[in-house]
Amino acid sequence: MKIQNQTAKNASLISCHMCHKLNKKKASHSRCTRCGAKLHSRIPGSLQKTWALVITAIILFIPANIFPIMTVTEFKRGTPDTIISGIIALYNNGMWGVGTLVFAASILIPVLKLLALILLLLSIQFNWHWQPEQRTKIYKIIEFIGRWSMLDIFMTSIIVALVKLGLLLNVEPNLGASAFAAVVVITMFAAFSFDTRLIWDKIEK
Amino acid sequence: MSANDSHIKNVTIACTGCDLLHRISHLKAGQKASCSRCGTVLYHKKKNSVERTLALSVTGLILFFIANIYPILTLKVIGATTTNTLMSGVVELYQDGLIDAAIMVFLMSILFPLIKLLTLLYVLIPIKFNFFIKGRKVAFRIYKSLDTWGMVDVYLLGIIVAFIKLADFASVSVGLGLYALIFLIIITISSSITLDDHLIWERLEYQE
Repeated sequence: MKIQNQTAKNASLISCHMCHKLNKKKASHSRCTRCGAKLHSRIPGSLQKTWALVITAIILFIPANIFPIMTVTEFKRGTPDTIISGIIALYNNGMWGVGTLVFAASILIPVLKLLALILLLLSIQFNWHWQPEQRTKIYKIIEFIGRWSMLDIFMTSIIVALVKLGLLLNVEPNLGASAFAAVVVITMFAAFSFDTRLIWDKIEK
Repeated sequence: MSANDSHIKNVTIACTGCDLLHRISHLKAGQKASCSRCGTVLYHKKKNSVERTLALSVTGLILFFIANIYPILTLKVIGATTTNTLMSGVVELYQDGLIDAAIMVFLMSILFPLIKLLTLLYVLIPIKFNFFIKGRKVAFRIYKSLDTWGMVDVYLLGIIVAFIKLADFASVSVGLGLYALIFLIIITISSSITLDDHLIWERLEYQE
């Protein structure tokens, strides 16, 4: 393998984001000659898009945690459960393993993911040259783990479908579930709109 | 020429992580090339990729239908019995007014995994049996775009947590749907490992 020590952008080439074919750069918006996807050297408006989605996710994270995700009704007495109270209940019942798993997927991953994205965004906007390789790795991790936060929503959909025993015992989903699902999807879009090549563009200058 | 032969022996590609250009030549099956600057994998040549992925996708499609038809869990409390399928959770969320959550669960646990299987078969079958059909590039682009959005693996973890929570106060048993789902996940992960993106794109470029 021989390295030509040049980026595609500097060589007036565009690597297709879909099939990774190198295309010659043309004046206006063009499509990949191999797969037909729209070509762009860097994700258009990457920083603005990522910031907008990160801020939206942070705002939605509040109702996602304040509102209950489901209500358990036993003999007409309802107890609403938020994500946090669900985790606490698991710990109180001695289910440490599952409690930790749900905590990691529902709280730790979204929070760390948002913090990491903010760090990456700031690092580009303030021209930090610090550890580009590590920053690329951080991105790879958050790109990969975000989807696991859907755990709580899938679990809720299973429990509400199973526990339907009329007045005796019933579980209903609540608004918090929708807000939380939105947080997960928006943080995933935020990660996908970030372009790691921007980290390396700053290093070259 | 077998379905796995690559047309291009020498290829220049840009790293997806940092955009640096690399020239890759004569990669053997099973070998990997990584970016010299940021470490991102540039090219991973797979062994018998087309046959392996095709076999896995056919199996996956059968398992998909079993996983969707048969019950996943059965709950018994004080004489009453309820069961659930992948779809019943979606219906329940919808009926209780959480339409957006219902749509997301439906897309991620049912529709996207199905589309992924179908598009992959649509691309692989003509490559294996050397015939021509239209729209394979679009099909493979759809497959690649939905890659992370099909979430049967995350769904399984949701089932495990639900199982443990419910087993605390009721008797819960496992249905055929769950076994099918577990195998479907193994198949899905295996086929994403055996699939050689570069090879597929090269084949599509020269055939269409």
